[in-house]
Amino acid sequence: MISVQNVSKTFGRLGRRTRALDGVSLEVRRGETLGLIGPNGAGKTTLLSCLLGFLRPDAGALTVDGLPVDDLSVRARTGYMPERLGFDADLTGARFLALHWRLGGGDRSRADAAVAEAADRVGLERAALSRRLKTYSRGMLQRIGVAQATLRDPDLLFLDEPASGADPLGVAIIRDRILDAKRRGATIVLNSHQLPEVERVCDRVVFIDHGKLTREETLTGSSASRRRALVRVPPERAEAAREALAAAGLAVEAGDGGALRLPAADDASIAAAVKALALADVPVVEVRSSADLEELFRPGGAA
Amino acid sequence: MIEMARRLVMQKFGSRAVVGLLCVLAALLAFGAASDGARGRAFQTASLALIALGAGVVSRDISSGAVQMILARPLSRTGYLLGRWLGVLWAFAIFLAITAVLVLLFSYAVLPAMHASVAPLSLPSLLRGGAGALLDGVLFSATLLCLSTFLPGYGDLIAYFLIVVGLGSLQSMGGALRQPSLETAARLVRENLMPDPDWTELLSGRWASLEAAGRWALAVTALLLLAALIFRRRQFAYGQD
Repeated sequence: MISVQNVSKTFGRLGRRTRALDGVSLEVRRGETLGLIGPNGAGKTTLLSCLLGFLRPDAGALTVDGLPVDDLSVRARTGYMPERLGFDADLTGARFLALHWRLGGGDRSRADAAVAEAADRVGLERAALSRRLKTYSRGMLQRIGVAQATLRDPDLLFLDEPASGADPLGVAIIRDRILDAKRRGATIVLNSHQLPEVERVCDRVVFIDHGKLTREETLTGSSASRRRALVRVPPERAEAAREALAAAGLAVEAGDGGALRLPAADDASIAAAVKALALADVPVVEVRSSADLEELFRPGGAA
Repeated sequence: MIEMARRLVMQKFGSRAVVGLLCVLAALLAFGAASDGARGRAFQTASLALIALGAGVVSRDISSGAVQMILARPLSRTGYLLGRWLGVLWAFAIFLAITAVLVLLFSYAVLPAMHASVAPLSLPSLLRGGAGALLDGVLFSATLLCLSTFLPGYGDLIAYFLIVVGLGSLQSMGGALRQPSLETAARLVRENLMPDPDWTELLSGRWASLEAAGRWALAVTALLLLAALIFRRRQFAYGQD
């Protein structure tokens, strides 16, 4: 479990001091995927840097399973992908991955196979592995960055804007790798501005603004605090659908056409809605669940 | 640590610009050494190769953000630092070995083919020259490493030359202004911070320079300890987002 207790961090010298983190406390359970969201300059990357031991907090404590975050046994099971990818531009993709495989404690004799496997998992062609990293496109760098972070299937994965600059296929591949790690039971901390991706992979999000953790939302499970469901039925049956849902005790907001919105919809209420509509003989065209994280960014949204 | 050393060697010998520079330097050095049968001081200029191999050895990793990716791995900061330093020395040893091979080539093939009149090659002198250059490189690279832990970019190299010039100037000024204390202080700092043992003498079994060799060992140890101390306390931020 990752524990952050009352962490504060200030940058700059006297007169020009910026409080990047201001008394942040949170816990990430084993196997949980936590999303860090917030506007630019909110302190998300600073928090990640503290979690990885690159920055020392001015106050507070950070631990992983009770150990200091920079303990080498913690590092041995950590994967990290920074937002700004600091690569050795003259190394080939294969040498770069092999280096990180060995740095992570991987068996030297298995390095080639591990590199090939990691490249395959992010859709990097074998030919690309023999090219120098300075010839890679931004999207390819993102993919090889994710490949190095997920080498040796780490228990802890820290990802800072992993899909930034990737094309739609790259975004999908990166998402799949995160979901793979999640299925393995890895604990993941994801910092991303790509809210739909955050919504797809995270169990919980925390909203950080001006260095403070201002809001926390659970996205999955029966305790989901921030889920909206959209149920679409044929427009001519919208009224019948609204009545059926109301009769089932579900709060409904009518939208345009055949759209009906269920605020605060957890898994059980979505299932109840579909069942009520089926019993009322109302065809269901579409059911979509969304956390609408964008709303948190609007003035007053995070209040 | 070994992986870090290997990484530096791959970085340096993977760069065409660095390899080109080292080839030119090795050819010039080898020609100079072959001309006097390796008995002269041609190898003393071999430390120039360390500018290409050791300048910005840590600071460039910090500015590129590579250090964060590396330190997220199970590698201690001291291990990273020593690995970088050993990598510089490893690369420098490769450079010296190639230069020595070129000396042999020039001495036994190229210069005789050109009917040049040169002194016969002394293999013991060649070995002593190479070993002495490597030992000089140990101190120079430790100095660059230490400066690189807190100065950005190639600030380590600039600072090194400023220290050399500054101490030399202070020593001269002390003499010119008849201030023996200033002259002595500058000389003492220079002798202890940048001792210059005569390795050729020492490696020939003559011990006149033994005291300087002791100061050299102390300086190397102190610089490495200072580098480790500074680097352990460093923080790596690349934004406040």
